[in-house]
Amino acid sequence: MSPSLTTTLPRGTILKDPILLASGCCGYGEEYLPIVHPSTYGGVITKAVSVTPRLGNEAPRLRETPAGLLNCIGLQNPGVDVLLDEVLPRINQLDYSYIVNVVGHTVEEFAELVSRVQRHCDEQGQGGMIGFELDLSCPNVDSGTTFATDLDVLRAVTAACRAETEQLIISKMTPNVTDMLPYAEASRESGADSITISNTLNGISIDIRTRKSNLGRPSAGLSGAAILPAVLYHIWRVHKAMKDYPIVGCGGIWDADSAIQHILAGATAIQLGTGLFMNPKLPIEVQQGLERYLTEQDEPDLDSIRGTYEYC
Amino acid sequence: MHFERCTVTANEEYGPGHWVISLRSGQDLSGIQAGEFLNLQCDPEDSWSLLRPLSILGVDLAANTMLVYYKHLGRMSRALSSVQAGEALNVLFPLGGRFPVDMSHRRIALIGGGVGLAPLLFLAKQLEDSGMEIDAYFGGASKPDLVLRMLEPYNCNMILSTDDGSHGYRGNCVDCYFDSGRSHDAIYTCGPNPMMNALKARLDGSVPCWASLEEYMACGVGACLGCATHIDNADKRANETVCKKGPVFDLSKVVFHH
Ligand SMILES: Cc1cc2nc3c(=O)[nH]c(=O)nc-3n(C[C@H](O)[C@H](O)[C@H](O)COP(=O)(O)OP(=O)(O)OC[C@H]3O[C@@H](n4cnc5c(N)ncnc54)[C@H](O)[C@@H]3O)c2cc1C
Ligand SMILES: Cc1cc2nc3c(=O)[nH]c(=O)nc-3n(C[C@H](O)[C@H](O)[C@H](O)COP(=O)(O)O)c2cc1C
Ligand code: FES
Repeated sequence: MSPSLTTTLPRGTILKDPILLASGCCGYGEEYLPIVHPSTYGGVITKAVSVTPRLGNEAPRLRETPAGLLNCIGLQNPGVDVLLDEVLPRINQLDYSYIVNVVGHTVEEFAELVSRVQRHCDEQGQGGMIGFELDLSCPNVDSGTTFATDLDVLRAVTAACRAETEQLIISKMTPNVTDMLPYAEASRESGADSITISNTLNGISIDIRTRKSNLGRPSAGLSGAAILPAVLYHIWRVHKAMKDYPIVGCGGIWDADSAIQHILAGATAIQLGTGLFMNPKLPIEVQQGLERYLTEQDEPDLDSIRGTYEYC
Repeated sequence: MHFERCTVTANEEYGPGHWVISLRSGQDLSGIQAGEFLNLQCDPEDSWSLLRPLSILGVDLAANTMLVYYKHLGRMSRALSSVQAGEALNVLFPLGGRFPVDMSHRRIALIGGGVGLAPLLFLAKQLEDSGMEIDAYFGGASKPDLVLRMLEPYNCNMILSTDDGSHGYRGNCVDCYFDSGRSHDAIYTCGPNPMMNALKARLDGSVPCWASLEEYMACGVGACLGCATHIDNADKRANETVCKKGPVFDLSKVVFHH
């Protein structure tokens, strides 16, 4: 019998397999559709949406680094009105599962976004929507830090979003902390069903001739294969202490091997981001690689390998 | 759109640092249009580097190959020149949109600098039986930069310029165009941003002009918003993706920042 990749997340969420496309790396899922249809794997996480439209940062927004990518897109998005009026009705026709990634500048903005998308689901139908991901790594206007590095605002924003929906909520953590455990615990206590580990690492790239940034901003977010070990460390650290709290692994997956490492470190589901840019067929290659691995290891499903990394 | 492992059928240096590579596809290439580009893996052993956006220079339907012109610039364009015929590279294609052509036009100008010659030569090829008169103002830093024009016969009047005066008009292709005093129904341009910005300023909207832009890219398909460029649409600013909404834009609406 072929092994099962079926993946269960809280609130009755069942995915075909653990593979999701990371927010900001796949638009709304439509762009990669001609290469691999998202209905053939777990699903996609949509580009962060804010209350009002955002133009994003000036170019250049990208810079390649050794095995990595720095980006400073600046959360360019058309705003929640366009998401609800145009985007969701469009992708609801396309028969794939998606998670809506939301980003606010204040606790109230996060809650408003979740409430509006929830109301849309209540009134217009659920379509392919299976939950929310809170992008907590953006700077918080009120506190001046990012939501994900201030335990009090992290709790406040998660609780405020929890009050607006019964659907799956995944809080997206930043890797720019020494120890993620307190943040993971705070997420769980305040109502997040799961956490994504993680967003991008802080980084810079300097043009040595001008001594200025190679990007349109002084600093940017590092993603891609370069960050894999750092992200695996955070997943392992949190999973070891919170075995029953589902983690969505995100960072540096570029082939089946790196995806399997996420699961062995403790991830329940995984996200593919920068790896798609080198290989748009990555979801299928990871899916096939996972099946092959379980068969070779004589394991029936992903539950039996999750968190089985032995470090001594 | 396809993501395919294409076999390299040729990879030749035409002048110092100027290369043309042919990629054999299993897909039907007859629909590929001038202005479209592809995203190419430049080293068959490298899965960690971004694919590089390169314009499609031409299509050989008999051999079912796509031709791409590239210049040695940095790490991946150098790696690409080590690839041998018979090796295979991942290619995402065709990407972006074509140059819009109004078939009622009688005389058009192509104004290209540096690697910007590639999509313009493809346009000249596609229009060779259109009956249009095509003036091609091609410029480079020095004579070897203009080597591409000799790849095959092109049915257009080439007016060449070099910054150092080693061939043709001394100066850049924009000055060369204005000094020629000729008028055209439309202009198509591709080249470095300062060159296209200068063209925009001097044209000041007097002739329709379509510009193929370059920007740093990651996905190439409109999924990451990394390549957004500033476009002024009816006094409303927008950041449009060069890879998907472009790479060809109405030059009068492009706002150059770098
Ligand atoms: C739509 C499109 C079509 C293109 N068509 C061609 C073509 O037909 N032939 C060709 O030779 N090149 C073309 N380019 C440019 C080509 O993509 C870059 O030259 C190539 O990516 C350089 O890779 P590299 O690793 O050699 O250089 P890198 O080491 O990445 O860079 C070398 C230098 O070039 C600059 N650079 C690299 N990429 C870009 C870019 N996209 N925009 C501005 N500056 C850049 C870097 O800042 C650096 O200074 C095109 C780009 C785009 C976006
Ligand atoms: C171009 C780009 C845009 C991104 N936009 C968002 C975003 O809007 N919201 C978000 O939560 N994460 C965003 N991210 C972060 C990714 O979702 C992901 O967390 C990160 O890239 C690490 O995964 P990777 O190494 O597989 O790319 C973006 C990443 C990239 C490269
Ligand atoms: S390169 Fe990703 S949107 Fe253009």
